[in-house]
Amino acid sequence: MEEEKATEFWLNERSTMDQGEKPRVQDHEEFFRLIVEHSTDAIICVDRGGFVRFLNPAAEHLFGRTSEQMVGNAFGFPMAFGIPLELNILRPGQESRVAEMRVAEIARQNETLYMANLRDITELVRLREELRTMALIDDLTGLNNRRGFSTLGQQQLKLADRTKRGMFLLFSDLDNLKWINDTFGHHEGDQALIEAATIHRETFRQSDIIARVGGDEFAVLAVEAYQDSGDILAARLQERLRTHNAQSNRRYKLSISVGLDYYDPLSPRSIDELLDRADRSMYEQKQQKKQMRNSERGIEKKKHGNTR
Amino acid sequence: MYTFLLYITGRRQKTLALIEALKGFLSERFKDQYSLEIIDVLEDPRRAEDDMILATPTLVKSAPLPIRKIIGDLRNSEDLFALLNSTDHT
Repeated sequence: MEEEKATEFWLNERSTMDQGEKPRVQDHEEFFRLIVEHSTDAIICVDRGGFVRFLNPAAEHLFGRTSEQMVGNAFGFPMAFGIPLELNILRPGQESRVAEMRVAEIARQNETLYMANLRDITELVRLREELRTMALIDDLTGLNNRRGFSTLGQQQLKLADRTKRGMFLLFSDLDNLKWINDTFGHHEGDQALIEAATIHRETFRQSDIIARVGGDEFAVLAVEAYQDSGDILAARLQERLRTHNAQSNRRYKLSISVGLDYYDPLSPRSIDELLDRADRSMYEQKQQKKQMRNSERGIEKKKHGNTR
Repeated sequence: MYTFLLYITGRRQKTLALIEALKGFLSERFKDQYSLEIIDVLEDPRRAEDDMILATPTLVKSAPLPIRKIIGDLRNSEDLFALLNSTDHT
């Protein structure tokens, strides 16, 4: 009904102007009032003290409050000059919404008012978060993926440089994943990866950055660590793994190889360099494990040979 | 002594960065003559309702009077400082 009224007014005004007659001031006011009332963006006008002078129906809808409840009350001074700003809108008894706010200054007679335009972007933000999560999180384990690790890791390196506090990068690899997949199927392999992720989560702090950076590879950036604490971190992971294996009734035991590299803010390196060095250190540990296993098998064979 | 309350929704990276920036601003401008309480409306929704907070982030200066309530961009330090020290009543 209101929309029809607005269109009707517009047509009337055009036809009046066509006839060379000046539209009346009241008609203009009515026209602009209808524009503001029909705006899908919320509009709130406040004075310098932050008190609400006016709000349109879209603002009533966005804030879940009526004009009577808001006009004359303190909204607060809106600050977003020049740039749009995201706000969380708190609504009584309803879920909050996200709105983008822009503010314009209106000089009116002998006072200045501030007009906040708010556009509901809740859906847009939800989609943005979904995309961000998809891009940075590993679907299977819920840990960061390689890109997530790199993004967060770079931020952490900058922080370490500023605070001059070192960090450890621990690179780990779930041993024998191919054998698990081939012997018990991919579902079991996925399960082993999820459990390995849990072991990492339980071992390290929430503030550490934990990621699955490859098929069977994990990386942890243990922040604010002392240079001599690397072995302690690796030992803690192996201890957690032993506890996990002892509690599990699986037909095989999980095994994790670990490599370490220390980040010294006095001789900075990139995340990729750290990963590379820790990966090499892990490879050496893996080789040692293999050699140890082979020599144990050799001893076993000899034993059996002697008893025959 | 200045008393500030900052109302936030959750503690995501962006909000944590805002808190850090605000703390830096307050300690630069008010030295050790201020206190800042951070209220997460997800943890304490009643508090936001009681204090009539309509959106976050909102910074409230509750003392000295007059009370000032500022919504939005709390990084613009010059404007923010002028507003916090203005005498218009909220």
